[in-house]
Amino acid sequence: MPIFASVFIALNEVSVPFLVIGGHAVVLHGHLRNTFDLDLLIADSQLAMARAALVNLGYRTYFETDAFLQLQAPEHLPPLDLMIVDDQTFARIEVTANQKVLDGRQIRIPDALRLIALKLHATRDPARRTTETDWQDIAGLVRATNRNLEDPELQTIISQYGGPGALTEIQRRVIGS
Amino acid sequence: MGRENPDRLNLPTPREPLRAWTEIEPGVMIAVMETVMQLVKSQPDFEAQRLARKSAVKFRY
Repeated sequence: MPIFASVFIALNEVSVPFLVIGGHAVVLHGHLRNTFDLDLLIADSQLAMARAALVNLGYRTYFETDAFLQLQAPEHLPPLDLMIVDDQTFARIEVTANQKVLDGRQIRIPDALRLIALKLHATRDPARRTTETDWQDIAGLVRATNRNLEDPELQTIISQYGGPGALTEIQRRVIGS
Repeated sequence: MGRENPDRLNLPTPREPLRAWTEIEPGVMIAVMETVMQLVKSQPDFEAQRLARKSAVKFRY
């Protein structure tokens, strides 16, 4: 039973660009794991339009910060989060995005490197209860997309977004597995 | 006991690689995720649990 298409259609109708991130993007890159919500990346300048379209579908705000909007879903739609980034960040991630099909709709996901950057960013928030899923995702993305850990671009991403110790952690999970 | 007949170990060759038998297509996985999502979202503390996994630090690239 497709439950995501309504969200994609609603955002497309108001011309809000978005990228599917989180567990669905990880799965679409080939690393299979479960997830309980749909995560979308949108630009700051699109937030008001996106929120209005989603409220029209029956979503209600559960919690929000300047970094994300957590939405409570009506019965027939998926739990949904919007990760909000500045317009320049969105444009930089969008430019290398990959086209995929989800629920029969054309959608875009960040390429593996940008998705790894997003995941590394999440591991560095001390307020998060656990980062285990993020590390598993990162290792899974490296394996699923046949990334070489010696690749200078990947190493730059790891160093910039994961900080000290991140490369060792990824090597342990990828090579040690 | 006599020697094992080496022919007994010649198992039939599968028509497709073994990997193809065991891999789950992303589309199938996503259909499973949709079903699970609909089941778990009615739990009373579901939104609070989701919130605990969020990063409040804005991402910049």
